[in-house]
Amino acid sequence: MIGFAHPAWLLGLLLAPVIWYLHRSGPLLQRVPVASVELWRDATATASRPGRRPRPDPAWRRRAAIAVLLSLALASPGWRGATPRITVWIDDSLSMRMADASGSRLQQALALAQRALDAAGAQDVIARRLSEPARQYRGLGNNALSALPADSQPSEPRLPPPESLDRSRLHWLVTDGADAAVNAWAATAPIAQVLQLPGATRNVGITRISARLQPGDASTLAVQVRVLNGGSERESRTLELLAGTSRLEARRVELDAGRAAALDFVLTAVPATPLGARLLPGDALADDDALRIDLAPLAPLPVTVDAGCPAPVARAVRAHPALQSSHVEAARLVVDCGGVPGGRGAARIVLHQGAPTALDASRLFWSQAAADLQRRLSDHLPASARGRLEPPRSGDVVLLTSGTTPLIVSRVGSPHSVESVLDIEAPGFASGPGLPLLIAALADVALGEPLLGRTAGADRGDDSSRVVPLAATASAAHIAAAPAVVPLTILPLLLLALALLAWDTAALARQLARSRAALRESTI
Amino acid sequence: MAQRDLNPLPDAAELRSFARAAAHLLAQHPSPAPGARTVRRRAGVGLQHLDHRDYVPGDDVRHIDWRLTARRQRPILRQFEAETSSDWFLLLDASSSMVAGGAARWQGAVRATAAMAFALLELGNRVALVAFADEVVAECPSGRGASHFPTIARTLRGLHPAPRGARSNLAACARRIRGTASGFVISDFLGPADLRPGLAALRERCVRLHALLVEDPRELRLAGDGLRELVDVESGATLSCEADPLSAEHASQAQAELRQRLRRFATLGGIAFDAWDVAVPWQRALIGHLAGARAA
Repeated sequence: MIGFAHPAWLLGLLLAPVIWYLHRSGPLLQRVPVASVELWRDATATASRPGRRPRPDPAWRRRAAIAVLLSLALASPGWRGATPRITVWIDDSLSMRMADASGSRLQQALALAQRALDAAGAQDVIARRLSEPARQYRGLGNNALSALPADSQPSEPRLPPPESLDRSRLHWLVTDGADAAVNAWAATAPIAQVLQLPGATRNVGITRISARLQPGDASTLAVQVRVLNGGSERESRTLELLAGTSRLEARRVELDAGRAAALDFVLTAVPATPLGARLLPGDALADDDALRIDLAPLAPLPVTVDAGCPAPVARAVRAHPALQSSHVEAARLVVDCGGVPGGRGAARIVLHQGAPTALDASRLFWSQAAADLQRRLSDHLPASARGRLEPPRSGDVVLLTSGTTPLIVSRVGSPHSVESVLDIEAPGFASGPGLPLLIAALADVALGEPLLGRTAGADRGDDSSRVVPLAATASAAHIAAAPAVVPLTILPLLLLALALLAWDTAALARQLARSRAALRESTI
Repeated sequence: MAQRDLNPLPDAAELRSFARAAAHLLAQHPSPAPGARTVRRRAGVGLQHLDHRDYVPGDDVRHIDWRLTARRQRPILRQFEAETSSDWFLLLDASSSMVAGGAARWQGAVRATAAMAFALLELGNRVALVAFADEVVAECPSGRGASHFPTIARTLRGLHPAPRGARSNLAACARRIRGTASGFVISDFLGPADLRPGLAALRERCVRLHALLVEDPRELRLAGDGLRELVDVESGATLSCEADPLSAEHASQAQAELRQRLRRFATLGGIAFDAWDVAVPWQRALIGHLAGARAA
């Protein structure tokens, strides 16, 4: 049976009688100016007899047909009650893992969708997960969604562009309505029906955990944990900081609905095991009650120092809290004073040697790319330089010059390297804070990251813990009554309407041309 | 694109040829029709020199002005007050109906008016031109002699009837006729009561009145076929009508009835009346009319 997806447009069919009514007085006649209509007074008696209504302009049929075709096309006709072809989009974001006595939301969603499909009598069903929209799960008959794994790993939705959805199929969305992005996508995509799950709306989750070493003390760890109340009521939890399975600290936290808090911890000893956080007691969405990070990125960086380097260089390396001496093969950073062959994949700091030459402090220029370096070193530069750098190649960045002579150059290439001709043995420089500061700054340039600012962290995003529906869409109670209309292509209707419109336009143009020609002939 | 001359006048040869042909029909008035009054300006008095005109066979050779004839290289005749010259008013219908359905009727009427003016001036008459629609739209005062024709020609060329809305009101011309004069009306007589009230008013003021009905039967055949909405260019009234031979026949019959009504009215009123199909050359129509008027 034919049905319509937008039956309100069928009101446009009422235009047909209106068009007939507007054309009832007959066609628009060609006007002919004459000297006196009295000469034709008797002729008109044969044209229209009293009491006889003139025939409506035949053009009304053409124009009414255009209106009817456009109304039908806009109403989106389709087959109702036959075998609708349905694609069910499953929102499998983290909030869908929320569980209660009836099971997880995802399991409930699949059951709800299955009931709706059974009610609609759908036979051709495809299920797709929003986290993996390219993959389809096909089922048949009463168990259409059985192919979809209800225990698949949750992930954030990767929403397909609305225009990419197959228009020849009906699209349903099963969601808990807690994800703003999914709701926005459903508003723009051609979703015929949204099945929204009822259920628990209380949840507190850990959305982010991050840790970094204290710059002044490599053995001290600063930890920050972000906790979000994604439910609809005020909640109270205990946050435990764990090293492996042993509890390091615990703190009580109370949060209003929708609010988040960042809890800071300072650990005097860096744990050797992964650092974790846990909320107690747990809630319906267990997956966001714990989060764990690996502290390996914060471990000291293995570095090797060329034996030919002056002793103050080795001391400066040892003084750096984030560097740890190692042998050449394991090193990720090499301090080269001319005696270390090219390392495999290790960044390099090259300190040139040679006869000292005095530097004119008034001719020292920092490049714009060396703003951080200038801030850290400008008060601690030696008064002399040793050796000479090769001219910078394409891609190299000159960080410091004395006049036109480069003093520090960052060389492009892999591994990265930075070269300096600053005199590391200058009196007062090697024994003061200048050399450790120079080594630390050059290490940051060579490694491309601030060694003392490294963090280890994990971030789920706030949406992962929100479980309260942001916008009510469709009620599950209406599923059975919802019409299932398989859309037909409306292109033939539109083409026919277009052809009729062209015909009518041509007829009007011909009538206008004739009228003008007659007017030209009949007047001076 | 050059603009079409809407008011082409006959050339000089045509005018002279017509004047010669019409001279003997206009030179002496026949006996007035019953009811008409004959008034001469200075009846039978003296030989006061008035003007010159071309010699026409039959003229008295004693009145030839030999000096002027030698100068102009053609026989020129002196005219005197004693001749049967009189005042003429040429009344030309310049309403919208004259230009509806094509320009043939209007152009024919303009040519005929110019020719009559030339012929009458050649015979020494005083000639005035009055163009009328709702009211008098243009007027060339009375003048005499060959030198007056360019003024009349200029007035004729400057006439452009409004395509719509200008109705015919012949009675508006009546008050322009002063003294004893003859009138010559050229019109389609399409208007209230066939303009007969206007003709009656003119007849009261003119010693002799001519009326020439200008017709164009081609206008009565509507182009194409099917239903048309006819629009009266003067009144704006509309009428639906089939463009078929039957309608053309009805319109021709109505035109004939108009002609008969006017002819009956003219006969009773002592008006020299004729209908002119513009397909007929204007020379033949005017000569035929003047001959008919003279015979009457």
